Amino acid sequence: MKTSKFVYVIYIRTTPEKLWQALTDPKFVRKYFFGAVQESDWKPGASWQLKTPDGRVADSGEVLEIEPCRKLVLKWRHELRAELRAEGHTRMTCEIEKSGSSVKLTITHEMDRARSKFIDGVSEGWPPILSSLKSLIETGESLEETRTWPEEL
Amino acid sequence: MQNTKFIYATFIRTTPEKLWEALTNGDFSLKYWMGFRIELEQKAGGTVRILPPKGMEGHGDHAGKVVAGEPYRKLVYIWNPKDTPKLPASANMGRRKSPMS
Repeated sequence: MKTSKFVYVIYIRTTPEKLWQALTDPKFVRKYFFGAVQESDWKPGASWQLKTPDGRVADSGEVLEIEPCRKLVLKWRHELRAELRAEGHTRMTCEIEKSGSSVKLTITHEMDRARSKFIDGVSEGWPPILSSLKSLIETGESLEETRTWPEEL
Repeated sequence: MQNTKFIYATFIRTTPEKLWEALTNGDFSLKYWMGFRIELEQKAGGTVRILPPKGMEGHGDHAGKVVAGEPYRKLVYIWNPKDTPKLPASANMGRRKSPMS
């Protein structure tokens, strides 16, 4: 089957509980996610949205699986750019595992479509976002470049 | 051509100069590279050695060669692990700084 897939692994000096909060609490998320606001009730089947700082829906979907401090699977579709929206839904899996005094975070973002432009896009987006998340958790400050929404989007 | 490849990008709050130092200085590398000390001649054709910590001698005295170096920008070296089966071709390990634009 044809698929597009991006996988990123990062180790963060924290606990699964703190990392989970950093991934789901909108006040935390916007500090490293280009100012985006995440909205969800975090229950299986609940809707999920990522909004731009000025309130436009950038991405939307639903919670497919949720196991606090361990695993989150989202159905995820881009909404702002028509050609990316037309590709349909992707699946984002976030896995958390304790590893010594750190936590291993694995993000897998995939789609049942060859050469997806959206997966190409998230391949450029996740590295700065997750690097910034690590900086934020470990030092108290996210990376400056990830605090505001890109002007071209 | 068939090959095997791994790519990883990370963003670090620092300067290119400090990051270069962290990648090429043995006193720095041993703090994050499981005790291994890198010794590297910063010129094309220069030697690279990755020396194991005490007690692990013989397990990882890796040697290699610098293919290309552009200080604070790009470093490419060939890496031949000593204690692993001979590789079909030299394993090429490149480290490339990707500035956040």
